[in-house]
Amino acid sequence: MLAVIKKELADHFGSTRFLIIMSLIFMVSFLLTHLAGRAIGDVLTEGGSELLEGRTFLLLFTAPAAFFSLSVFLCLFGPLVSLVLGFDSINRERNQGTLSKILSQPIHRDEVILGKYLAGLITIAIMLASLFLLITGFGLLGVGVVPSADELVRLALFGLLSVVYMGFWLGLAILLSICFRSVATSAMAAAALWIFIVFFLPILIQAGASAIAPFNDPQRPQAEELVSFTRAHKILTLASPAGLFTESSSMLLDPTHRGSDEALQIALMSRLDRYLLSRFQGGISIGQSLIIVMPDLLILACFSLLAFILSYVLFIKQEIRSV
Amino acid sequence: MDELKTTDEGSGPENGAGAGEALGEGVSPRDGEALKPSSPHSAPNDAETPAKEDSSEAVILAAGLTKRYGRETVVDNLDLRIERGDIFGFLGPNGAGKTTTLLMFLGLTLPSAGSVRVLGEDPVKEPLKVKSQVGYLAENMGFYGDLTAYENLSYVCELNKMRDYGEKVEEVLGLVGLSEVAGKLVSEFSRGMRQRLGLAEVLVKDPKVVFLDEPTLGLDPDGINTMLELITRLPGERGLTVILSSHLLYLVSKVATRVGILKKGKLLAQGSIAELAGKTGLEADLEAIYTYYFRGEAA
Ligand SMILES: Nc1ncnc2c1ncn2[C@@H]1O[C@H](COP(=O)(O)OP(=O)(O)OP(=O)(O)O)[C@@H](O)[C@H]1O
Ligand SMILES: [Mg+2]
Repeated sequence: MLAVIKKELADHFGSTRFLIIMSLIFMVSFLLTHLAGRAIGDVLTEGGSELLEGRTFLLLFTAPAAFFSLSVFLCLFGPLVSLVLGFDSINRERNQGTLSKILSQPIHRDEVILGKYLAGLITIAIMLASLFLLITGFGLLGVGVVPSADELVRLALFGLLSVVYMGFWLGLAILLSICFRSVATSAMAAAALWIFIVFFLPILIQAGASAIAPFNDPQRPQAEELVSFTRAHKILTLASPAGLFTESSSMLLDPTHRGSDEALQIALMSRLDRYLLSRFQGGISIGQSLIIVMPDLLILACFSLLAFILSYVLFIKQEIRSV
Repeated sequence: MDELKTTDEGSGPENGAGAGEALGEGVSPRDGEALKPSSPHSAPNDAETPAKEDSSEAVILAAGLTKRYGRETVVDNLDLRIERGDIFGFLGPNGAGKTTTLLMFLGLTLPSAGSVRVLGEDPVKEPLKVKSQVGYLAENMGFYGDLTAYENLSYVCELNKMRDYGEKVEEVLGLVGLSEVAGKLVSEFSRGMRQRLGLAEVLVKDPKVVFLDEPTLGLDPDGINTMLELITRLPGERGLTVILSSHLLYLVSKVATRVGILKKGKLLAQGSIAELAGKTGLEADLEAIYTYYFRGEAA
């Protein structure tokens, strides 16, 4: 299996399309961090530092300075990296006749898909690690925010979460490359699934939650109604990888667990308001965040596992001939 | 980490047993009983049953080997014995089931019924043991076009968990006459060069048996001669057993020590050309023997 991993890694880092999508991700990330950094810098010079204390650095990831924050960007567009890495991993080899060759060597079929999966995961991890390191460096030098130990741990956990999330997409991509013999078809299917899961599913979940727990008068929702709506929404979100990722990432990156756009609003409040707010605003510790996030993380991992098991079952049953 | 244990394409063992009975032979797919040679039935069927019971020297021993795709029986109750050092020519028209049979020998396709032993191992249960000793040149072998010939070979070596394969790679490249282009990308190779590289990949793992499916496909006359010469040398120099599938009778008759004639999944005959000539009362000419069997079946 090591041989497969080695080969795939070399392929990924040498492949033009991976380098293109990676540079796109890097470029947009830098733009977003740059904008977030400027906004933070403004707040800091206005003397809002005590309010941002303990989370200045992470704001680089969560402040929606432009269209969206970096974490939301990763949620929406990170999957594309996984899909690009995996959508043709099996069917390309099948079509070029190398699959039957590999499988006539002493290697199990599951080693082939596992090797490809792990190589993709390593590639993703390397990409995210270098991205986060560069952003940290930018935060230090460009904005002058020094991450606290607490923030670094949270960032590492967020990195892990991102790898698990993108691992799910990788599993999905490999599954598609097993289902469809044609590379073009699996590319189309990947794009369709991406749009569905990332953009439509949240809308469906919203609609589903309203159907389960409707409001009598949407203009003036009752407290109980709000609670049951939120509960229904939370349960439905368990079926959405993107939703799980969003919830977990805000839990990890936002120690106070408030909407990150609020952080900037708070900075604009009067001093007294800020004082009052900060008195009652106990942050959630890393341990607590982790406990809250753990189930979501496990469910995300289960999604990846499911994709992998499906791939395995399908692949084992397939007949491999050359061409 | 376990290769498939159940049959694929929905043709399960129970399925297989039923159809086996329909053929007048209850061949169970798994147990040792299946190794017993079964009697020939369809005429004119001179298919030799494996003569000896001892399997010590038999490289391939198939008994009642059957493959069905849905209703279609593609390989039908095949009994075959191939000895060490043989160059076995596997003959038959398009769609006769030659490739399918080879795939079953390798464990890449699972038999619907019957069993096979390759070097004493069961490819269904121990696919890796079989694959590590068998070199398979597929009909239309593929390569990584973005890698050089040398790198393609190295990858095969790594998949075989070989170490320090540099010399070995160079040796086989020399053997097939590709030393000069070892550093060239395979996407820039001609059809014949790819075929040669395919043979190199088969030999680099030091197999005990090689399955060559249409090895002369796309080769120029010179390439064909080199290939045949190489094939003839394999048993002597490397102690290899060769199984060769081809439509080109004159080529097979040049190199094969024994042949098997397959038609619509049924093995009509197997033996050396002289043996088959004796049986049919014809001259020792493969072409004549081949037509005899095909006309016989039609009549
Ligand atoms: N996956 C499959 N599903 C259904 N039928 C198949 C499948 N693969 C092969 N067949 C059928 O099996 C039969 C035998 O095919 P096979 O490839 O073994 O023939 P062959 O003797 O190698 O032919 P050729 O000389 O053309 O290579 C053919 O009739 C083919 O249509
Ligand atoms: Mg064939």
